[in-house]
Formats: sequence, C-alpha cells, structure tokens
Amino acid sequence: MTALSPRDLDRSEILRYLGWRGQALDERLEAQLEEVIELIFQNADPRCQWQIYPITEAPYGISVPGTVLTLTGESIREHLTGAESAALLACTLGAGMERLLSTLSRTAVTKGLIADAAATEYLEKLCDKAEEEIREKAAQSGLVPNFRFSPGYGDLPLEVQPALLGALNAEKLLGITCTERLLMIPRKSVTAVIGLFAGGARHEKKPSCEQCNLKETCSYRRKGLSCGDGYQEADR
Amino acid sequence: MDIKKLTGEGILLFDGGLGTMLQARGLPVGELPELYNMTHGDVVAGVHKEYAEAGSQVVSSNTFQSSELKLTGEYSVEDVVDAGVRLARRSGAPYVALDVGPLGQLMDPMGPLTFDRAYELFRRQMVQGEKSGADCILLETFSDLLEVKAAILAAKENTSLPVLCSMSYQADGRTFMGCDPLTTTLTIQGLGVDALGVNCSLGPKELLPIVDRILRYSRLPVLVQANAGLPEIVDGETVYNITPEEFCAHVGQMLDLGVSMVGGCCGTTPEFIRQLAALTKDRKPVPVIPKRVTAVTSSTKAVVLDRGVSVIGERINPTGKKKLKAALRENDLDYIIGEAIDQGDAGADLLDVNVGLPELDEPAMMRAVVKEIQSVSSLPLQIDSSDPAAIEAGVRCYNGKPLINSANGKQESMEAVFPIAKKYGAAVVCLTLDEDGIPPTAEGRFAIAEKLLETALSYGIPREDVLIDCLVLTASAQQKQVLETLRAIQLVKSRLGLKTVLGVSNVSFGLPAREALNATFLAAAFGAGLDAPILNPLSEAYMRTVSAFRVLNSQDRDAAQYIENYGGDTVPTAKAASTDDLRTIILQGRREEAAPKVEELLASGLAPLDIVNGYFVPALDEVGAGYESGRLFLPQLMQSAEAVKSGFTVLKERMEASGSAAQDKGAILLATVQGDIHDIGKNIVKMILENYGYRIVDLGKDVPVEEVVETIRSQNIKLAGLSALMTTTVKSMQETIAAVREAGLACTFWVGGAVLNEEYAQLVGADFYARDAMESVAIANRFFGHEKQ
Repeated sequence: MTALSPRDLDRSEILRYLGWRGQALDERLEAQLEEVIELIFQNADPRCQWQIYPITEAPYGISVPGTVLTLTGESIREHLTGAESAALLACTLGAGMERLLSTLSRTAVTKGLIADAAATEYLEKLCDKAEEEIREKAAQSGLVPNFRFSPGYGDLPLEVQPALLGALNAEKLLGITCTERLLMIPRKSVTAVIGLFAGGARHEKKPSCEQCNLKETCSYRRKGLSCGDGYQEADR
Repeated sequence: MDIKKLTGEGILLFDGGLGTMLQARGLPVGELPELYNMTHGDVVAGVHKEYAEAGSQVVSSNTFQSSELKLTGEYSVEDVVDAGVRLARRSGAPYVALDVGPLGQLMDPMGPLTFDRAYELFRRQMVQGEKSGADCILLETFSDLLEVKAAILAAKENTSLPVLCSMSYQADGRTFMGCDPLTTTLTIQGLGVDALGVNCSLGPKELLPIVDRILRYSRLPVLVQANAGLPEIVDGETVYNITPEEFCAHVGQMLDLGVSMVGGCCGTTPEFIRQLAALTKDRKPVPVIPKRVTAVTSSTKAVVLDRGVSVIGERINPTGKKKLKAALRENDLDYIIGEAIDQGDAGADLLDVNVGLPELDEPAMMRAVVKEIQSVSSLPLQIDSSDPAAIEAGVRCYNGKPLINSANGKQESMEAVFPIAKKYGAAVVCLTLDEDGIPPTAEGRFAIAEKLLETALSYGIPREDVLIDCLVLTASAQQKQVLETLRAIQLVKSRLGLKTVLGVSNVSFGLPAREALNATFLAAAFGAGLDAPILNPLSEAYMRTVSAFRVLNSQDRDAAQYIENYGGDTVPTAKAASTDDLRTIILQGRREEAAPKVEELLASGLAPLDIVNGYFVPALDEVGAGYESGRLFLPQLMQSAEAVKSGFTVLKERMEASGSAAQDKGAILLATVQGDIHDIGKNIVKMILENYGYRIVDLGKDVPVEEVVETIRSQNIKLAGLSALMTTTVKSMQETIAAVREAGLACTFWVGGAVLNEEYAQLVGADFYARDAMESVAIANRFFGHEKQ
C-alpha cells in the first residue's frame, strides 16, 4: 500500500468533524490546521489488515466459518444479504497517535481537538486505501464490494469487536487492543465488514441516512455526520 | 535449569510456532489456543512432541494468553497453566519453558491496566507454572517496556525460575509501543533477567539489523525466534513464505554475530527446527564484548551520556519554589506536567523529579507524578528523594531505566539505596559526602567517590551505572572550595572514568547577578569534565553555555543545532504587548498576546477583578453567543478560551503575590467515568468553566466510582459534571451517580458526551444534560446563582 501524505487529507472534512458549517476561517486557524496535520503524520504508524472469508447464515446473524466470529443483528444481515463472501478489515494509526492525542488533550486543548479530527480523517483515508485493495482483489474473482460496516452501526453490537479483531489477529499484527468496555486502543482504530457480491452489489455506496431505520435516534446524525466515517462510536 | 551453563556449552535450541501449528490442526482463527490444553490435549502434546523429536531442547508451554483477562470461561488460570506445562513435559524435551505473553490490554495511562494489576495477573500464571514444574519462564512478543517490567518483577519476586525476555519489533525497528532495541536492551538487562531477545512479527532477514543492535549492547545471552518470513495474505489465508533453508541461512548469520539461543515463531514448523538443529549442532556461541555505556531511558527513548553533555532539568523540585509546593499540596498535576513539557521544549535531556514535602505521602506522590510526567514526556527521569521508600516507589513503576538521585558515602545511605538501584537496574548518582560531611579537598571527595564505586560494585551494580556528584558549595561562603569541586571532577573522570553530575546553581547563592556566575561556573565545570549539569533549562544563559560547549566538544556536529538556535540572532527582548485591546485579542484567540496585554493593563493600574469583569467575561460572553448562534465553531470558541486562560495565569500570579485570594465562584468536580479514557471534551468544559471563575476539581479519566464519592465527600462538592463517550461506559455514569446518592451526599450532577442526550441523562439519574461547554457554563451559573440567593 502506498503511503498517504498530508495533501491526501480533505481539509473540509476535518473542519466538518469539528462542527464547521461554512463559518469564516481566519489565517490563524488555517495555519494551525496545517501545523497539526504535519504533526499527525509525524506521529502516525498506520497499519491495515484485511482478509476475505466465506460467510454463512446463522440463527442470529451471519457467521464466519473457520473463525469464532458471528456477526449478529438485522443490519449486518441486510448488509451481507446476497454476498458471496465478506472482507474483514482493521486499520489503526498506532500507539504514537494515541500518545500524541492524549498528551495534547491535556496540554493544548484546541490543538488536541483539531488533531483528533485530523486523525479521524487520516484514518478514513487509510480505510479507503485498504478498501481499494479489497476491491482489486475481489475483482479478480469477479466480485464487487459494497461499503464498510462497523460494530456499533445499526444493530451490529460492539460486543462482536473482540472476535472480529481475533479473526484478523489484530492484536499481534496491528497492536490493536480492546478493553472490557469494548473500546479499541489505540483509539484511532477501525474495524469493518464489507460484503463481496457477484454481478454487482445491491448498494455499492452507503445508503443515505434518509433510508435508514435508525435515522430518528442516530447520534452521528445529530452531529451532522453519518456512520461509515472513520471513527469509533466515541467519536460521534 | 542453569541457562548460563547450557549456553556456555552450546547453542540452546527452542521450538517453533505453536499457534499456527494448532490452527493447521483445526483451531478456529480467533479462538484462544490455550483452551486446547483442556479440550484437545493430545493435539497440543502432539505438536510439542514433534518439536522435541526435531531437536528442540526447550519446549514452550501452550500458555501464551493464560491470564484471567483472557480465560473468562469455565477454566481457571491454574487449570490451563498446569495442563499446559504438563503437556509440554510429555514431549520428552529436556526443558519446559512457561510461555507468558502480553495481557492484551494496554498499560495505564494509555490503557486500563494498572501496574499492580498487571503484576498480579502475571504472578498468578507464574506461581502455577513453577508449581507445575516449568524449568524457566519465557516472556515473549512484548512491545511495552512497562508491561514486561511488571512481568519480570512478578517472576523474580514470586518464583525462583530463570527468566528469558523477548520483545517484538515491527519493520521500522520499533515495537508497537515505539521502543527501539537500544532502549529495550538497556532497560531490560538491568532487571535481573537471564537472557533477552526478539521474536515474532518479522522474518529472520528483517530481524538481522535489530539483532545486531541488541548484540552490541547486551550483557546477556541473546535469544531469537523469528517468524517464517513476513506474513502475507493469499486467498484470505495468512501464509509465511520462506523455506527452512532460507530461514537457517539468516539464523546462521545471527549465530556468527553472537546469538546463543534460537528457535522459531509464527509459521515455523518442526522441519525448521530439524534444520536448525543440524545448523547449531556442535556450535559454540561466538563470544561478544558488549559496549558499556552510561545511559538512562524512558518508555521510548535512550539518553546515552557517553555521547556528550546532557542537561538535567531541575524545576520539578519544591525546594524554594512556592508555586510547585502549592501544586503538590493541591494535587495539581497539570502544573507539574506543564513544567515537564516546558523543560523538554527548552532542551532538557532528562528531568529531575523531587516531590518531597514534609506533609505529603512522598512515595505515593512520587508514583503519581512519575506516571503523569511519563504520560506526556518522553524524557528519562531522575528520581530524586532522600527517602529510600519514595525512591523505590518511583523506580518500581517507572517506564524505562531511571537515574536515582541519590546515594552518598554514609554507610546507611549505601545500604538503603544500592539494593534498589541493583534490583531495578537503575543508574545512581552518588554524592561525595559521608558521616564526616563534605571533605574540603578534592582528594577527600575523590576518596569517597572511590568508596562509593567499590561498594556499588559489591552490590552488583555495573560500573557504568555509577555517577558521581562532587558537590558545589557557595562562592559567597566558601570561595576557595569552588575550585576544589572542579578538581574533584577531574580526579573522578581521569582516575575512575565515571560520569559526573552536578547541581550548578548553588555556587552563586547569596551573590548578585547569579546567572553570570552560574553560567561561568558551568563552562568551567564542562572544562573539568562535567557530563550532566542539573540546572534550570528555562534560563537562556545556561542553555547558551550548553549549546556553545556542544560546539566546542564536537557534540553538535557542524554546529548545526547552534546555528539553528542562534543564527542571525540578537539577545532576545521581551515581547512587546500588542496595540490591539484585550477584547480584540481574546475575540481573535491570539493566545500568546493575551498575557503581555494583561501585564500591561495591570501596570497601568487596573485591578485583577476589573480585568476579569471588564474584559474576560464580556469577551467570553460574546464568543459564547457567536458560538451558540453558529457564527463561530468550536475551535474558534476554544482559541478565545485559551487566550483568556493564559491571561488568567498572569492574574493569578499577581493575586497570589499580593496575598489576595484568587477568585472562586464555586467548586465543581469533573471526571470522565470509569472505563472511558476520552477526556478532551471534559478538558474543554474545564477550561471554559475556569475562565468563568469556577474552581475545578479534575479527577481525570477512567475515574473509579469510589474516587468520585470520596472526593465529593471530603471536599464537600455540590456540583459535579461527568463525561462518557461510549454507550458501554454510560452505565459507569449511572453507577457513579447512584453511589453518590447512596452515600447520602447532596450533589447535583450534569452529564455530557457524544452518545448522551436528554433522555439518557434522565436514565442515568443526572439532574441536567449539557450539549456543550457553553451549556455547562449556563448550568453552573444557574446552580451557584441560586445558592447565593
């Protein structure tokens, strides 16, 4: 995978994560944003791991043979209906990023907040890259991927996180740990499930919020964001 | 098992991959391999036996993840470890290693695992391992120095087994936690392990440079267990794709460099071991003479004192420092970490940490402060105390190899401090004074230095870990002694070859223009051979002397740093205050201009409270209104808040100096609840509430329920804000509020955080919900406003 560079990050996305709705920006803030993006790249240790697995229907969702993973709930069933197989994906920005963000959150809050948003955008772009690899791989078998679906979206519970990480050997290969409260540390880490379909995916892109049955209660939406963006539940 | 004897005779051969072998025999991916000890014992024993038959002298038990964190099902740690050791024993190999891996949680403060908890989890596995008959303990695949230190101490303090310690490095030559091989080797070899090394994550070819680096510094036998190449994913399967022949070719190079224990890790099979057995048969370890350097480390960084002069920052020491004393008494750790960061930014290489105040529990405070500083600074620390208990508390939980300050020539001091330095592998500063005080002559001090060195060596402390402080007396009182100090440094350097440390500032005590005296003395001391002055790095005069000397002794190659620091530079002048008024400065969030402007307003005769009410509050209200209307967004609000904060610092100093009490509109407790480590939202709320004059008792993140209850009780808190950012931690909020109510304490709660809303707030039993920091201010104003009526 070719490395990302600071210019790959979408500045307006970073601002959007910070609650920006087109307000006038001053030079100070713009300069700080650039400075923070540099800092993010100095401290990131980006890593991804993905694997394609066969899937089968299980009583409460979808199970992944050969692993201990069962993805439970209606949302994931919907996400994988008609899929030939599924790609499991985990990405992280590493412990250095965790250290940077927790230090800044105590010593330079504004910078910390911006850094957090910039790291989220970095992680999002990293996931895009991995997804591109999956797309190429799937194409070799004539399959088309849909989009990234993560624990915590819809009714796919966070409780699947340990098994999902286990199926990717993410602790050993990526250094991602998961706490008893199901928080991944380093916090800038993402796991996702992508369906692979023969003859075109039903939804190649994430459906709009309007079509979602959780739209009334969704906390992403409350913040003007949507699920599928590169962050854990806590970042909503 | 006498590992030293064994490796002295030949190359010790370990086994190969276990998890990958079990997966090939049906273990589902993601399933704990250790459970197979209970359910598929014959399969596990079969793999062990294959390795023994292939020639493994040491077989590692299937107990890598056998802590109670992972074994949450029906089997106890003791059951799984016992079965694991017994199954390995059945292989018939001469030796069985109790295999112990990382716990799968990150250490506090990055993760939830405290040092004591980690120690306890390891202890349980190890005690059972010894009971079940393991011959040694193999710690492997670690990436965190503090976690592996907890494991080593648990092994050394609870078993009598030899301990081998192996870390995992990534392709960039660092572990996941950012430790390089030099830092790791310097730290671990002092902790009393019998061998150290590397395993997993890379193939032998990629590990070669890392192994080379370790061998250059390791005083211990070095163990290597590489993967069968880099893992690749082929058709959804992880495969390792180098052949046993290639593997052995690279391992052969390692043997030539001096590696004396080998085996394999993920992807290696009995065939790899068979070929390794042929390779190592009748070979003797190549003797290596390691480099002996005087060095200290943090969790990610080594400072090698042999590379030139190093600066030890002196500011975290309450002697003569009012503000630090107050911060220690009030448990204001933010002030202390601010001092750590400032000194690092100013160019300190190490930081002295002294928290000795008569009324404090010094060991507990040392432990807390060391952890806090290490969470924000990568500089190694000098643990400074006259109380051996505080020294031990500090070095025990220290992440890295610390410097102890200090022992001295008194029998009592050496007997108390040297065992601590030895046990924890710390370097130690030794003062040249004894029962008769400080000798007046250089020769007298040298004699004590000699005695200190001899005694330290007799405790098993390596020579290079002994540093000497020849002590400075004041030029005003004992003028003739100043040159004796310099002569003593020369004697220690030339005759003992030890590194020297010196607190320089004392020389000028009682005289005017102290900086000039100190800087001149510092230059003279460098000339005499001083390696590490203890000084205030925020003093420009001292740091110029340091930078200049680093050019003259060739430490600063091509004077690059010197030119960067001072090129085209004149003596810096104080920053002029901006011509804009304070309101504009705050509205535009020009933080660095706020403090000089406040100074200027104070100088013009305004009272601190006039500035608060005339500038801070109106400007904050204006920014707050802009934020609420959507004209501004959060970073803009915060930049203004930071400007006010830096202005407030000036006011506080002024008020404290004039003896008037700081403004206090009311005390508010803030905490991110147990299980949650997101604190930026809470910290934003904290800063803005402080700007409005509230006194914040900040308990930090991942705060246990009992700590909230206790603080509300002991400090009589009436309003508390709790933050949680995940649905899984919102229940901690509920538990916290319930526990406070249960304790019969009348405290009003408001809550906030990403996943919360009004409904959730009611559900957890909170009185109010705040969507953002400005709503939190409104809640506090309402609350304390009511109280005033």
